[in-house]
Amino acid sequence: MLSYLQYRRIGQAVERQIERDQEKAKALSSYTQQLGLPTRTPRGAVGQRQETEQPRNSQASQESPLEKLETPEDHGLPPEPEATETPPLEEEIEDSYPVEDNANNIMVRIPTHRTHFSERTALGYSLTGVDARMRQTNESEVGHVFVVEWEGPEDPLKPHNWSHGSRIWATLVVSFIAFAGTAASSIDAAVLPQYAAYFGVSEVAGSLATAMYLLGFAVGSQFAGPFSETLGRNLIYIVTIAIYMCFLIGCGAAPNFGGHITFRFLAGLFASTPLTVAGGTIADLWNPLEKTYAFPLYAFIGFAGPLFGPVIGSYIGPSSLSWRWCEWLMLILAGVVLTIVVLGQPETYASLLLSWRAHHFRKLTGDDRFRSPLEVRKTSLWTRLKIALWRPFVMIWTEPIILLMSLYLTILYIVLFTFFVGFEFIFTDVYNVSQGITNLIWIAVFVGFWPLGITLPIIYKWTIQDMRKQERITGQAGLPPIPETRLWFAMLGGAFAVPVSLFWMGWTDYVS
Amino acid sequence: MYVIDSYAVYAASALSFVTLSRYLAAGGMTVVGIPFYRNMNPHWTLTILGAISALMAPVPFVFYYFGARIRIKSSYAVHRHE
Repeated sequence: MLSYLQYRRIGQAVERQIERDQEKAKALSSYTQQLGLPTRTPRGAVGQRQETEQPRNSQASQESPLEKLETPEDHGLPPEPEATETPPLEEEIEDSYPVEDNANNIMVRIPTHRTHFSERTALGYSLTGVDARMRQTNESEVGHVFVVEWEGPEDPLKPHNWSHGSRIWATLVVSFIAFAGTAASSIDAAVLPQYAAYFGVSEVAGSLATAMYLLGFAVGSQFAGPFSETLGRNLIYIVTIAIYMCFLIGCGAAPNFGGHITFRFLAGLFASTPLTVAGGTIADLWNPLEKTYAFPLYAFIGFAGPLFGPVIGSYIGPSSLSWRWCEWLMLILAGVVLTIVVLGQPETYASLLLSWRAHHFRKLTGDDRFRSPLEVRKTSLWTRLKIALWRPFVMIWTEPIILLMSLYLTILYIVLFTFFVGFEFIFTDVYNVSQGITNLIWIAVFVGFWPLGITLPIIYKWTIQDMRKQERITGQAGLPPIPETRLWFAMLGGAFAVPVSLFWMGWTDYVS
Repeated sequence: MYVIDSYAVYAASALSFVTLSRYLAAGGMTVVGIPFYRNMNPHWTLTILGAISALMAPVPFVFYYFGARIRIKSSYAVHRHE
């Protein structure tokens, strides 16, 4: 829904841009007409122009006659690659263009192919954000293509430029998707005794319900990336959540054990997609400095999922509700999330928004040569899927970073997930707490998240200081923070706290 | 996040491996968990888990001090020539 409104808004913006740029082009050419200079067709020069970079000074000299038509978007625009040929919007009124130097003296230069252009080309100069290139299409036609980009770095339709509130909303929606997906992974652990008894299997086999879901996560996460980079984030979220809900229904209604764990695997397969695509959404929305607090915002809610699963399911076991209610509750949660995504989540993938822009350009100008960066990409979806599948395995042999980080995180997750089944032994057997309360103890683990929130402002300050240091060292401004700044989160206590707390918990677990 | 920042363009591939390994391990351990806790008392189970994670605890620090050097050697990671 929101994406559709976005689509329309992009169309309106494009329409306005075309009108504005046409006026600008008219102003350009009308000025030259006033001076009564001879005209010349640039048609023959098009091929040559394609290869030469338009000199920047010709843009500077355009600015003075254009002062009265300057629109806010043009202020301080970095020189963008300009189109040298434009769609045939107007009659070919060809004029030559006199050049003014900075003192506003009119110098009439001998029109060469570099300074001389028609209204068409003037329009090309004014159509901000459109870049003409030579492209070879899949049908092996070689031709010119106008690659559409944002209207400028301050384009309000670009996700990075959205208001804080919109971006936080989009982040929250995505983190709720992650919450819904991951909560389902652990909720079955809360009703393990009842579940195992129902199907007549041992509790070890019963823990397969959780395990298969996680294995589905593992397998599904490999496929999600390339799809979202072609089809856009929202479509992926909506389709995969819908399929996930179907499989959850299967889980809830499964008549036998085998069927149930199969459905769990398939549900995990489709629930993993939002998890991996969510990282992409966060990158779409926030610049590297802002990610310092945006990513923890996502992680706080998203990774609280496995912790709240048992809490949600805590009293389903002992009560008279069947264990199947775990699945139904997760279904309801997924349904709510799906509704929110369909109605309220904007599309954040910049390349897809550019495709919509190109589509509007095509529709409004009737010229088929407008393309978005996505459409001129050489690799097909199938190729990128294949690359996405084998490249991770190639990378691990040479990348100690990936290896070590994945080992580290793997061990953390091992610890976490053995707790799902282990709490029963630690708390129920020793202290005789009921099954319900045992699962509520997971809230304590969530409380352990909170120090992250407390250290966040400090880390943010440090990140800014580090960026300033980078600027001093390298002399460039606006560089993103070095990756090591992301490690502070872990270093500031997390890394120590895990073994310490494990030992602590292990040796205080006595009845007395 | 460290992985995402280190690998910029290839972050998706790097992250997908990390995700794969950690959920495979998590899935496996969930099944192993019950026998683990049952056969060895929770005391020793947690001791073992604590020892393993203590081994891995220095990892963020290693990356903090040696990260830049590691990334320069790698062909996929971003590195700034300072």
